Amino acid sequence: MTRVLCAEILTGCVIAAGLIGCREPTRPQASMSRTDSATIRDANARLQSINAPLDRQCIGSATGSCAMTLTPAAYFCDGLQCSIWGVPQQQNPITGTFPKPVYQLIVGMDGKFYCSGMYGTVTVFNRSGAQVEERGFTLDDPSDCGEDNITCCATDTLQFPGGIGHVVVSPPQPWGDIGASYTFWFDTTRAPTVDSCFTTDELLNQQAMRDMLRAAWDSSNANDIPSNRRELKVWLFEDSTGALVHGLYRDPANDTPCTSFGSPHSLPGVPVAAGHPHPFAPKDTLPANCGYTTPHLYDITKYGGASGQDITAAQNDSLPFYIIDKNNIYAYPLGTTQKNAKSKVRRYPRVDAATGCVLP
Amino acid sequence: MRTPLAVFFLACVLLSGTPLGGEAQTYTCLPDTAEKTQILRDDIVSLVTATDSETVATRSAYQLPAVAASKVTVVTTASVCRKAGAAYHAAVTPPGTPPIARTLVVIKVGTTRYVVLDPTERAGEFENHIVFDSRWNRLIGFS
Repeated sequence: MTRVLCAEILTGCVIAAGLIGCREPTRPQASMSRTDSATIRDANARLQSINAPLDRQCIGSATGSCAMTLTPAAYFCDGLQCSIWGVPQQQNPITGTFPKPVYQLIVGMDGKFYCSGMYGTVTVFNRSGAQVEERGFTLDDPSDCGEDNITCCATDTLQFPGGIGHVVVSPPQPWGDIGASYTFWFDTTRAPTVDSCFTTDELLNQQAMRDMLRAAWDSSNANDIPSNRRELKVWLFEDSTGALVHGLYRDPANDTPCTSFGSPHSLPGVPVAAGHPHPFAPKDTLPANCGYTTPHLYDITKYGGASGQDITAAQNDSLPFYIIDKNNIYAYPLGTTQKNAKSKVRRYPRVDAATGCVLP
Repeated sequence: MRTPLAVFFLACVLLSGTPLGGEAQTYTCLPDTAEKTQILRDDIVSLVTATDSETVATRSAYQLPAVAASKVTVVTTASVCRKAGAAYHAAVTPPGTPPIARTLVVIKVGTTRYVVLDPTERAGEFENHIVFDSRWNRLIGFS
């Protein structure tokens, strides 16, 4: 074992690692340039993580169970890429729960463990708690084992592309006179899958979301006379492979140009977002078969595009939701209420004259 | 005894000006502290004070004037609420529909417009706002 390690003083090192110079939590594949302000943020994040409950929850009894909530206060971020360092040694599996799903998880193991032993595994679970992957650590440098049969470092690069809700790290075996701490690297948002017309909305940068909204719009008869147009419900799901898929749901007997009732009989995955079309342009006159006895104009000023009922439904579902009308896509994040809707909504023109971008 | 009782009952109905179950057609206003009231008031303020072309066009379509925020007021005066309720009911239901009790948001805009909403009145998923002039003539609805 030739690398400088902190395993012998691991507990103290966990807290002080960033200050005394243990292995830096540098993401294995990424080399990132940092601005001064980013450096300051990093430093603040280090201090925060030292003070965060994370560092204390699993320290003190290396043989006990260890479950941590990996709160953002413990994150050490550069842009959307973050790490949590110093997840401490533990003889039993360590369970870490992310309050909000993370993506592209890599777990680094630093310490002192036997090359001839088992290096441990990482098991990840999706946002609904289903196990989606289990993968073993691989040694960073097998040539480091040498005569002492001990090495310091291993990495586990998870392949699951979807959102990870929690993770279980199983330690190396045999345990004995060894120990290891862990660093998690991950993205806080799903990487974009579109190649143009990027938005500030994470899901709207997914091709699956754009496909969903396009399908919803195309299915709404939006170019027909107003009374023949129809709302329908759409949901975006993350399936068991981590891919995003959408479903369109109609209730032909009850859907109207101004409301929709469809719902899935079985879920093709974990619901990630909801949406539906409003097949009109702002200020269009809504048809009588919506239930009007006198002319009414389609309004987007009060709630920013959604109806009050849309907002209530999304609150009940605890999902972000998307409305598409003739002119715009309206993205509402989690936490939207009728009261705050106008400040929360992000509106994206379907045709942006300034940039030439065309969204679904 | 049957005839006097019936006459008395009929007289009561006529004097009260209400049919049987008359309580069901009362019109009252939500207070200015109600969330629904605040949301609509804020919306109307943003409409009537806006200067961007899109919102100005919407304001025009809704036949609202451009006024200062201070000229947008929440109405809770009982007599005005009753008039607003009757006008709103006539505007959102087919002719001859029996009145029902309504608790309304009534917003006065300047001296010439009222915007009225019964939060329980829906067309599809949409709320049903009606803009009236000062004589309670319906001008336009928006949802």
